[in-house]
Amino acid sequence: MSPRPLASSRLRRVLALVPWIAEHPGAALEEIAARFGVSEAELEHDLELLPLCGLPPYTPDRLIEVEIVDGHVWIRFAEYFDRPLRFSAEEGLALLTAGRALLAVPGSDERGALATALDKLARALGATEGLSVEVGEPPHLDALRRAAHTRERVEIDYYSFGRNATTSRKIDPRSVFHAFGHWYAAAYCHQAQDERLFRLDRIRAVRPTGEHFDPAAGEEPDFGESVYHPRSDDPRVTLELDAAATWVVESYPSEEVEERPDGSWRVVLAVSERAWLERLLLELGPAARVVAPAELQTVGAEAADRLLTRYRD
Amino acid sequence: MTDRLERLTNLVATLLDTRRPLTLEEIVELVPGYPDDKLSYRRQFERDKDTLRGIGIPVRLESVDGLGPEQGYRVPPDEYYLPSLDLTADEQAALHVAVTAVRLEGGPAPAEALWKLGGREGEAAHALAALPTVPALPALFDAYRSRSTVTFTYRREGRHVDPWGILFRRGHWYVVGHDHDRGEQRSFRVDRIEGEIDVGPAGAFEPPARLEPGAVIRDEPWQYGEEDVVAARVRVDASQAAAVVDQVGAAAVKERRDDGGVVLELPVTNTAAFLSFVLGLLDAAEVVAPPELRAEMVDWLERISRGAA
Repeated sequence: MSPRPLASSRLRRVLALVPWIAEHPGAALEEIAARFGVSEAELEHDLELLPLCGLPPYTPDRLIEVEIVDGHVWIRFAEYFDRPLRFSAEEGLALLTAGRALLAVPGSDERGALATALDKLARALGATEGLSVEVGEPPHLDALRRAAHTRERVEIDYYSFGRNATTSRKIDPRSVFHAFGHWYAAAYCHQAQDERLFRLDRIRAVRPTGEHFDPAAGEEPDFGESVYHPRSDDPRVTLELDAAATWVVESYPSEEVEERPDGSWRVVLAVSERAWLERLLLELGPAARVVAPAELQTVGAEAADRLLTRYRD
Repeated sequence: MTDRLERLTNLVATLLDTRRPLTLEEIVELVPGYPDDKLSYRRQFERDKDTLRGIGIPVRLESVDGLGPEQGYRVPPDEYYLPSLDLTADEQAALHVAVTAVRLEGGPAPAEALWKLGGREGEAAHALAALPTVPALPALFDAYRSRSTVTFTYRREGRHVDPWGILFRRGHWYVVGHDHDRGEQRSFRVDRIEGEIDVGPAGAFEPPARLEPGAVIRDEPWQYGEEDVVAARVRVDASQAAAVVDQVGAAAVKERRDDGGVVLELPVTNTAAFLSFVLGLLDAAEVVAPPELRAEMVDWLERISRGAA
């Protein structure tokens, strides 16, 4: 096992801790530990190291002085560490992105402390313009966030992309969050009698019910859940794909993949809804064929015939 | 034996404090903890230097006396120190809320992102958003800040781009800039950049004043193409109208029909992507114009219809 990651992570912390403590003489160990997200034991371990550090020739007057009295800390003779290290590109980007994303959420105070903090940060990073973060604003975002906040049961008209159908249902929205480009409501669905994720851009209407629900435990959103996970009882479809349709293999969780010598593929996909398969086959056209099951071999052709009626009127 | 962290801390202090670059021999002489054997101390120092550079410390290799061939190391103070941001406690607390509310997948841990600003102030927030990161993003951000032209491969072609700005929209990161090879403004999906990004010398360009990356980006798939622009009209039924208008913007609406449907006009430079978009709407949409595009859609559907016969 290599000690390197630990050493570099501790070094980063020490180089940030020292300037802060030097600037706040007599700060409490407890506060410092809380600020920097370490245990007091780890903090003391870091501080024990410092009196061994300094400048050549490492005579007492050249070493960093650390004094700990009754749980309070003083650091002296560390002028060369009186400011922290500049932000790396990753750190600067992470801070600016997080701040700009939060500021972009509808309802944020565009002139508040976050906005002024980001201005100062962006100026220090040399990035006052040029980094924009958009999180979108689906029509019912505000209504759903309010319902989640006040724990109000609402009735929604929801468009199911997989089934290509809109239905109404009552939901208890527990949290509303943005994940990888879309807003979701994590809610208890009274129709499914289970927890469900609803994409806000597919909610067509929200109506109050006047009813309230009890808060449940575990309200932090599980972002990973927002991607489609095949269920064991979803029907399986075997497809033959030409090389031109290789992106399908990369984009969807295939259960079996076989590449043929000519560059074509045979894949098995979980398909929960017929409309989803229709879209895929219409988009791929002649580059895809359903091999099995037999009753789904004509799904693409039937969908194409149906759409063609619109063009023949 | 000297603790590695102790040696690294002393090394940073020494390189920061020195007025002139120090040779490798001077460094191992001055900083305790290096082995005596030349091969060993050289290897040890290389590892230490990589660690320092890995956390962003600017360790420079320069001529010791400014002229001669002998080279040495130092950390220029003006490149090391974070300028004071003069954040108020409220502002620090607001940043704490931001990094706990918005999670950047693959980015630094929320607590660590605040270390250099004096750590956490105030309360953490509930998680509200998760954004992806792309490996190429920090290099592009740096290139934007230093005004460096970047070179990369995109759609199997080499591109030379002045990065004017970076934008996150609908789940994807884009870089907007001047494409030298095409002689015009272009945008690129950062996750589709192939391989490494080569960053050129700083100060190579000046981005246009008051650039809003969000206003100039072309982010719809049917705009990602090199074909001549076609004004394509598509009718969308009431069941999908609101959602599609929300996606493409109200400016594209050419007609609002009594039945709740809309007719949209979209600038298309990638016909295949446009047809895919319309097909994705299934029975709720239909290509209206131009006639050639409508005929292309009919032809495509007929081929699928015959395919399974």
